Amino acid sequence: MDANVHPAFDAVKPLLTKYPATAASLYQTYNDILHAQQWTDLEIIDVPQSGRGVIRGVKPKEELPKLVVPCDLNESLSLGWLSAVFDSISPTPVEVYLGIVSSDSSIVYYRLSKGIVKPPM
Amino acid sequence: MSSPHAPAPVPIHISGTQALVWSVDDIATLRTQHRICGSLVGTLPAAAQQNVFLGVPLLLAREEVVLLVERQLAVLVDERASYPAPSARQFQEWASARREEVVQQQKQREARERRPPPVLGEEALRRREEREARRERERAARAAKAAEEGEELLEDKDGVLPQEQDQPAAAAAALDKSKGKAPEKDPAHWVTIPSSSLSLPWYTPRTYATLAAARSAGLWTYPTTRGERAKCAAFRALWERGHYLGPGLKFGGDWLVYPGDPLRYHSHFVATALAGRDGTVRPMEVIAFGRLGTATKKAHLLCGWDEGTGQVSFFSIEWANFG
Repeated sequence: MDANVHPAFDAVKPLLTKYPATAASLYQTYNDILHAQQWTDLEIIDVPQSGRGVIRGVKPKEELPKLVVPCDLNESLSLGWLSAVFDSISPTPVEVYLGIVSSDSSIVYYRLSKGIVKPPM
Repeated sequence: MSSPHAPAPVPIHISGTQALVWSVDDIATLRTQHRICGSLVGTLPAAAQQNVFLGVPLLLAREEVVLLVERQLAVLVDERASYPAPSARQFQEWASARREEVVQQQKQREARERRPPPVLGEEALRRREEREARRERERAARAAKAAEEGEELLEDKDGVLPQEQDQPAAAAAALDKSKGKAPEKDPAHWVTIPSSSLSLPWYTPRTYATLAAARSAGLWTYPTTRGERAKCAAFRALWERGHYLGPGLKFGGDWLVYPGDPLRYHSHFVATALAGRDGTVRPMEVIAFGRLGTATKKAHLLCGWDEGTGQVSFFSIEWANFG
């Protein structure tokens, strides 16, 4: 293995080159989810309708996989784009996490659900 | 769609750009039958600063007006054009009713003045004499004690002390003045101003039953921009799902979404209608909405309006609780 390449690079490499505009946010989010948030069974899914790769994995203490959609703070999102994310992934997810990456590599995660979903008590 | 048994449309009085409802019954109808709550904005002229307890009129949000008129549950009234000049006869009737009221007041006052003062029964008379004798004894005792200690009794005969020790003369003079002054003369008569002008005989409401008619008359032109139309569409979509909606200013959104009457429930959502082209939202807004919602035990609801299909799509945002 090339000593100058980050160990996580291989997993995301194909989609970094395919979607260079979102490469930074995907890379940062992947590393955070894998090492800091300690999700397991990670895989990267190509979602052309959203113009990026999306991360699927299992949160600690959970069983069913969840999705993390990375994006950059400077991007402009649209509800059409969000709908596309829900509609083009099968099985259709109930909710996705939006991982918002800023230029200093901080990431914040927000849960997006389609429809009117009440907050838990 | 109005059926034979539906209540008559509620009049909404347009004053400038404000939509007001003045009748308490109409306000109740709007809330209980149409799930439209509005905001009470009436205050007291003498206590204009207090805003804890407000009354009539009800101020309707613009989206509430649009929804009510579109569903023919209300009509818009151009207040400024609803008061034509009274006819000569109407004026004569009004003037003579006023004169009659003045005459009645004067008759009542004269009747009051002619009435003899109330006569005290024997028991009451005896008690009054005892009271006055007791007061006199107490006063004499105080005078004797003061004289013993070499002080002058400063009370006057009613037991009232002067206000300032160093101005006994001025105080005494003031007391004399207030006793000798004649009571203020009663005003000649009182004028009653009705609290509602809707009862005047020459009130002729100029109403508009459709938004289009009101718009071409220049009375009500909301919504105009695409963003405003998006807000109306989102409001309507939420209302059609059975929710109650209240103003969202305190929580950084367009509306608060309640599962039932706001008097009985807390809201679960803060809703924002996206006004941008294709419903764009910046990630920073997602963060702000999500953080604020979570801190207040609500979720933020993004409402996106598709101008082509007229559909409104919803996304709920919450902080993920990790990261």
